[in-house]
Order: sequence, then C-alpha cells, then structure tokens
Amino acid sequence: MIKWFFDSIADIAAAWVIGITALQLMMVASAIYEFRRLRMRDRHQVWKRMLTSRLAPRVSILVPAYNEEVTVSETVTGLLALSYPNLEIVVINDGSPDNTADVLINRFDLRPVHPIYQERVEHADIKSLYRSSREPRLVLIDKFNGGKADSLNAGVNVASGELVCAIDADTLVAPDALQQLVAPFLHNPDMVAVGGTVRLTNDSPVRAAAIPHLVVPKKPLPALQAVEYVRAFVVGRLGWNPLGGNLIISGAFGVFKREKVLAAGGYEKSSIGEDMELIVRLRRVGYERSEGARVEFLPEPVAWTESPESAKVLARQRNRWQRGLMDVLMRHKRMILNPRYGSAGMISMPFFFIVEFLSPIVEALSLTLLFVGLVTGLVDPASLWVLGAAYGFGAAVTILTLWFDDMAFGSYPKFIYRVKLAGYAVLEQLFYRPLTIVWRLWGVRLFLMGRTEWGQQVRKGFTTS
Amino acid sequence: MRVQMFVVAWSLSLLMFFFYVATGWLTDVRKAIVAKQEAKVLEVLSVLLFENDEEAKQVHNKASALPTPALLRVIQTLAVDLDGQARARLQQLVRTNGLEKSIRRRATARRWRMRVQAAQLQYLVTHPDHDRSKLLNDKHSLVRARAAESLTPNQAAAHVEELLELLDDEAIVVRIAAQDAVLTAGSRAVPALLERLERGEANALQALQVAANLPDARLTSALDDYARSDDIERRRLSAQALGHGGGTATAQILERLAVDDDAEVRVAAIKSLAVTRSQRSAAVVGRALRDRSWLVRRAAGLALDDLGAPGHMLLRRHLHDDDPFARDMARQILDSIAARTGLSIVPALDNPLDLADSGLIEPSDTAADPDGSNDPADEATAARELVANDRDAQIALAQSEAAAVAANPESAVASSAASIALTIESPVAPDEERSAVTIESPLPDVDSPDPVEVSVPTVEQPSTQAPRVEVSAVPVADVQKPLVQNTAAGQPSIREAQAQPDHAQFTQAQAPQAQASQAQAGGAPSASMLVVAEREEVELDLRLDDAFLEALLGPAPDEDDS
Repeated sequence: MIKWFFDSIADIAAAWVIGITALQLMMVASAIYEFRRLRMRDRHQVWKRMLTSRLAPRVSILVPAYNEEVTVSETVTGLLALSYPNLEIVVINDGSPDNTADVLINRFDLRPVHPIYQERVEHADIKSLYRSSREPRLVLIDKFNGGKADSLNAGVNVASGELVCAIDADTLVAPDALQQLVAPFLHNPDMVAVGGTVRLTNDSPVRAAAIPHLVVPKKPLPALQAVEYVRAFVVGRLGWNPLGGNLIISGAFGVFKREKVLAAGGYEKSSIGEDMELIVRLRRVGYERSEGARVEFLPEPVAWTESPESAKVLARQRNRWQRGLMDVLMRHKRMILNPRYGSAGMISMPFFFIVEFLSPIVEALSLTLLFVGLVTGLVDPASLWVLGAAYGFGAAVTILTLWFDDMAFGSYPKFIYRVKLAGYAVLEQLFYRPLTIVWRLWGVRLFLMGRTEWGQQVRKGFTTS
Repeated sequence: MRVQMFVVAWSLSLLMFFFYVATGWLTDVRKAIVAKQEAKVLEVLSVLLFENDEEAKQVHNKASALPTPALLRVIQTLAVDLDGQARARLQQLVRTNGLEKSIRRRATARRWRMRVQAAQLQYLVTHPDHDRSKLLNDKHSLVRARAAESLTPNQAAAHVEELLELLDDEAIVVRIAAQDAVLTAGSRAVPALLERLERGEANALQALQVAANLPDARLTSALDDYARSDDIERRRLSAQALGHGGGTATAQILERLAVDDDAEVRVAAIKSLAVTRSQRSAAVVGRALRDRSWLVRRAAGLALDDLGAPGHMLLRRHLHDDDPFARDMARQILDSIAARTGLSIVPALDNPLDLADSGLIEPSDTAADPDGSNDPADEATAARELVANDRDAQIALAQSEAAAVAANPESAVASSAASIALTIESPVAPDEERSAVTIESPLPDVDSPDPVEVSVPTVEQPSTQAPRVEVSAVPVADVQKPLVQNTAAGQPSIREAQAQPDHAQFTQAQAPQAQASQAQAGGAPSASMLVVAEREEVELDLRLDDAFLEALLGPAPDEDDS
C-alpha cells in the first residue's frame, strides 16, 4: 500500500502541475479572445479624444505613502504629467517616520489648508491637509499612521472625484493610462472597478516620469518576476474578464467608482489583502443589492513599479499576498459555490480557492513526499521524468504568454530581451516556482497563527536618466 | 512512455522559444521599416509646413514621391487646429498630391477602417462636392465619432444640426464626440441648441449637458421648463446651465432650485447662484448653510467664498448661527480662506452685538461718560444697547464692513484685519454735550502700512431724538492709495459721493477723472489704480440689498417694536 502510494506521488504531483498548466492554457485562450474583443471596442483609441473632453469625469488619484521619501516625488511628478483633463492627486502620508511629507512640501511648495470633507468611512485622524500654490491639482493629507487601507479611506473621503484611482507611491503611470481606465465607466454604467497592467521597472530608465522602454532586469530575481508579472497580468487577469470577472484589481493601479466604494464601507482596515477584499466586497454587495457590479481588467493601460530585488523582501511580499488571499477567502467563504453570487461565486471564488490557495499546499506536500520516497527508495527515480514533463509544459505555456504579450503590446521589443525572457521562463519552472511555494506556505502558517502585519519594504528609487 | 512525455514537453518548450524569438524579430524588422518611412515623411512635412516658402517649394516634389499610406498615417497624427499657414500648405499638398482624391475615395470605401481614416482627414478636404454629412451619418459608430471629432470649429458650426442629432446616438463615443464638437462651435451653436431645447424632446439630456457647459445667456430662456421637470438629472443640468445666465428671472429659478427636494439639484443651483455674484444670491446661498445635506452645506460654504465680499460677510455671521452644522461649515470655510490668504479671522467683528462685548472698546477722546467714571464697561453697555436697539446702527455697521471689504481686493478676511471705528453718538440736542463711544477692532497679525481712511455716510436719522451713528472703516490695503490721491485732488470722497443721488453713476464718471488727476499730478495711472477704478463701479456701491441685510442681520424688527 505504502509502495503504491509513493509510486503514485510523482504522478499526482505531475497531474497537479499539468492540471494547473491546462488551466493556464485555458486562460491564455480566454485572454486572446478578450484581447480581440477589447481591441474591437477600443479600436483606433477613440478614448483618446473622448477623454480629453471637457465632459470627462473627475478622477482623484489616491497615493498612500509610508516611508516613500525615495520614490514619492518622482511618482507625483509622473502623475502631474498625466494627460487626463479633470484630475486631482491626493497623496496620503500615513504617519511616515521618514521625510515623505517634507519631500513633497518642499518640492511642490505645499501650504497647509483647512480640511473640508465628510468622514463617510472611518480612518485615523488627519493632522493636516496641504495644497500646492504651483500645482492646484495636488493635495497632501498628513495623517496619523493607520495602515494602507486606512490611508485609502482617508483619501476616498477627501477626494472630490467621481472616480478614485488607487496607486502605490512607488508606481509610475503611463501618460494616457488613466484615460483608458476611465473609458469602461462610460461604456458601462454597471462598472464599479477597472484595473490596469502593472509592469516592473527594475533597471529600466525613467524619462519625464515615464518609462520609454522596458528593459529586462539584470538580476535574476527581478527578471523572474518580470516573467511572472506578464503571465499574471496580461494573461491571468485579462483571461478572467470573460470567465466571470476579476476578483483582484491590483492595489498598485486601479480605478473605482467613489460612491460605490463609500457605500460598501471603504477599504477593510483589518484585512491584509485590502485591494482584493474591496473588489470581492463590491461584487458581493452588487449581487446582494441586485445592482450591477462589473469589474474589468484592461491590458494596455500600464503602470510601472519596482519589484523586490532581495529574496528576503520578496519572500515577505509573497507570504503577505498569500495571507491576504486566505483572509479574503475566509471572510467571503459563503460566496464560494453559492449561485446567488453568480459567476463570482460559481467560477472565480472556487478557482482562487483551488489554484491560489490549495496549490502551494498540494504541490509542496507532493514534492516533499517525492523527495522522502526517493531518499528511502520507495519511489522509482523514473517517476521524475513525468514531473519534468509537467514543468516542460509549464515552461511552454509561459513562453506562449510571453509571445502573446509581445505580439499584442510589444513590451520588450528587442531580440536579446526575448531570448532572456524565454530563458527565464524555463528557469522559473525549475527554481523560482519551488521557492514561491515555500514562501506561500510560510504565509499559510503565519495566517493560521493570526499574523496580519505588512512587513517592511525597501525602496531603491527609479533610475532617472 | 515517461521519457517520451518529458521529451515532448521540453521540445514543445524549445519550439515555443524559437517561435517567440523569431516572430518577435520579424515584427521588429517590419516596425523598423514603417518607422523609417514615417520618419522620412515627417522630415519632408516639417519643412513643407513650417519653413519659409522657398524651402517649402523645394521639398514639395519630394512629398509627391512619398508612399501614400505612410503619408496619410503621418498626416492623421497632425493636429486638426494647425495654424493658418501650415494648414493652407497641408491642404495644398493634399490637393496637389492626389491625397484629396484618396481621402474622398476612402470616404466611400466598403471597409469601415478606410472610412474611419477618411473621417479623420476630411477636415483637409476642400473639394466643393465633398459631403461631410455622409461620414457624420455613417452606419459605423466609429466613423461617425471620428467625423465629429475631426471637425474644425467653423466646420462644426456649419454642421451643428447634424451634430445635435448625433447627441442621441446609440454609441456613447459618438455622443461625446458630438457634444465636444458642438462645444467647439461655441456661441454659433446656440440658436440650434436653443431650438432643440425648446422643442422639449424626450431625449434632451445630452443637449442639456451641452447647454450646461456652454456659457451663453441666451440658453437660459429655454431652461425654465427643464428646471420644473420630474427628472432629477434634468433639473440638475438646468441648474448648472442657468449659472451662465443672468437677471432676476434666472435668479428666481435658481432660488427655487436651491430648495429642491434633491440634494444634487440644490448643489448645482447653489454653485450657479455663486456665479451671479449678487448680494441677493448671497442671501439665498447663506440660508443653504443650514441645509440637511452635507453636500449642500459644503457647496453653500464654497459658493459663499466664491461670491467674494458679501459671501465672506455672511460666512462670518454664520459663525454665530444657531444651527451647529451651519456654524461648523462656516468655520471650516473661513479657516480655509484664512489658510489661503495667510490672515486670521476676527469673528468678534461679525456681530454688532458681540462687538460691544468683545473687550475691544477703547475710550474715545470725545466720549462722555454718563457717570463720569470713564469705565469701559459702561461704554460697552451703552454701545451694546444702542446697536441692539437700532436697526440703522446695525446697517451702518454692516455698511462699514462692506466698505472695508470693498476697499480690500482680497477678501473680507483681510478686511477683518482692518481697523473699523464706530462712533455712536447719543441723541443730540443742540445745547447738550455729545457723547460718543469708539470701538476699534484689533490688528492682530497684519502690518499696517499707511492706513487710509474710507468713510461711509452718516446714517441720517429722521428724528433728533434718535441716536446718530457715524462709522468709518480704515482698511490697510495698498491699492487704496489712488483713492487718497483721488480725494486729495479735489474729487468728492466716497462719503460725499454716497450722498449723491446715483452713486453708480458717480463711480463710473469718476474713474477716468481719478486717472486724469493723477496724471496731472505728474504720475502715470498705476495698475492698482486702474483696478480700483474698475472695482469702484461694483464694489464701492455700499447700498446693501434688503434681502442681503436680512440674511446678514436677521429680520428687521417691526415698526411697533422699535
């Protein structure tokens, strides 16, 4: 029995990996279909004209900042360069002990003003509100520390736009990205949130607060993440549009209907995955109140962010993401397989439960048992061929996503970049994937222990040229 | 079997690897060729459009040799509103190079992509037979949208009827493009828009939206019906559009909308009332500070700020409002003004009754104490009683504040830092000694460079038994200096001018004289003087509207009570 069990382990592991790869392949197909649909809708970029209109809805960009003195100034400069006609930029300094607020005050000549706003969702007290005499679109909220969700709640309260765009303080936004993200709200009145693609800037030059062309990061860890981001955003999230809608809009770059966010109670401060939690709640509330609550992902509006370069920081980030995912699934567990919640309950939530939550556990368990079986001689070494084949299929699908990204968006437009990325796609399967499993398992453990803190991020700053 | 699986899987990966790299490289090559073509076109066009005639002529033949698709692609990226010469040259190129024919051919092409390109370029076509309407009414929504977007202001004005029809289009992109095109046509679109609004069609929301963004008073006549609509959005847009109008009728509609059942309508009406900048509007907006909706209260507060002097005066009165929400909003807005202007607010000046209790009383040189004790408290009590019981005294005080506000170009907050002296004389009998109290506000944090006196008239009392009140306001603004020169040069002071029958007439007449008198004195009229001269007409008219006074001071006591 034990012999049979161990003999089957490699096959189970391989079946699991192939199953996940098949789902990814399905997502690629779905993404290609969705890409064609969006291209047909937004062909000739009519939104460009449409949203330089005087009738464009007002958008408030919320930039929560905690210890972001290195990048915040560049980020705000980039946001001020956006071509959107009706814009407000609200930076929320979440009680940073560093000079985040001072950097902004000095750079943009900010002066204190009296805050006039309605506190519809709770947040930590605001110490002071600043406006710039040079840039009337810029507002700085200096508040006591309360976390990212708390900062976003303060921003949503103070913001004056019909739409709010949440981005991270270390994120640069493409000049026309906002126009593209706002367009779906005009097409569909049921739209509550729209997200865009986030790409990694490590080693890419910054000119005029934008990235003229992406460069494959020199260090292996950020390069592997670049491949991962292409798969996660361009294929993963785009593919979800026709399959029941997204459950995640990246906290680094997404636009929301302000009134809907306020009506749903704002960001959940006690959740570590506040961005996903808000989306799930918006959709849940939409179903419960029989209101439209569509969430869409657009592949072309791009924001750029910096990825962690050290394994330690990356590990913290991944375990936080895993805890966030588990937290959201636990909070909204009654949605899973509940027909009342439509495609979100019947497709998206079960998928996230199986693929994102169970996957690291099953894969780690299988690999551990396989290793034990090989050491003890209970597993035939020939079984490894099957596991190797599964990873081979995984690499092929990842390269397929890179090809799709290249054809559709030309993100890395150089021969050498493509060679490097394809090479990293292979390495990802062999080295990076097991590592992420370990980090995610660590996240599962911490979640079960009730740990909800964020951990510290180290910012390098953008490479300005 | 297991090994075979492994080999198949990794062979597939390898195949994908080469496929990815090879297709990417081919794409790069194609893009490079296109970019090279377009760079060449751009190079030729930049000389052709922007260099002198000689150089432009030299490259004209070169342009003929350029590939048409690349040429059209580049021209597509050029701005519709190229300036006169560049545009004329581009049109000439399009005419002589056969591009016009190509564009017109594309306009009738079966493929919609070609028609989209034609729609975008048709602003360059000058051929008399070319029919722009055809693309505006194309069956494909993107063609219609592009055709509307690419119209120049003149072309938009010529096609305004069709554009207004497109406001009802099923595609949002067409509706927005048409709205923008109508707005581009500006006032030339107003008659057609007005007619459309007056027809009162069921689907008039888009037209209303355009009207709300088109500042033209002619449109207001059609908006009254929409302002009475059952549809909230129509009422809201009407309120927004009415802000561009003027006159009593418009103000009355807006006043009605300012107490609408829907908060969004009230907000729009209040914002529009602020645009009128009248004292009467200020009174209405001031009442909205007590609204049940926070959004309305905030809009009212901000509108009072926008209203300038009268709004600021009201805001300061509301610091003493019975309604705590109104008080709070007034405080927030005034704080924001104070932060913006860097001046602090002196609320004690706001209420004539509080003024007497504020401890700011300084014994006047001419004050005669009834009991001879020279006690400031007695004077305060006397002042309080006099002001509290005398509407004219209150009005005079309000006028003094208005004078200070009017004299100061910044705001009432700034004027609160001015010194306002109030002299209240007790009933005067010919043989009796006059008694007077002078109350001065503090100057807490403002340097006072050469205070200049601006006087407002003594309130004439019908009876010798009534107290006689004299108020003078001493603002500190630099821009008042020309006024002094004005007075010194023999012109009537504002106080004297107030006594004249038509003050507005005086101010209009005196402005050039003031400049002339300064010119005679050897100095050229300064910019600040011109500002003051312009301001005099409106700002220095100190007759306060009854509605405004009621909002400011509360209802007047009945005759019997007084």
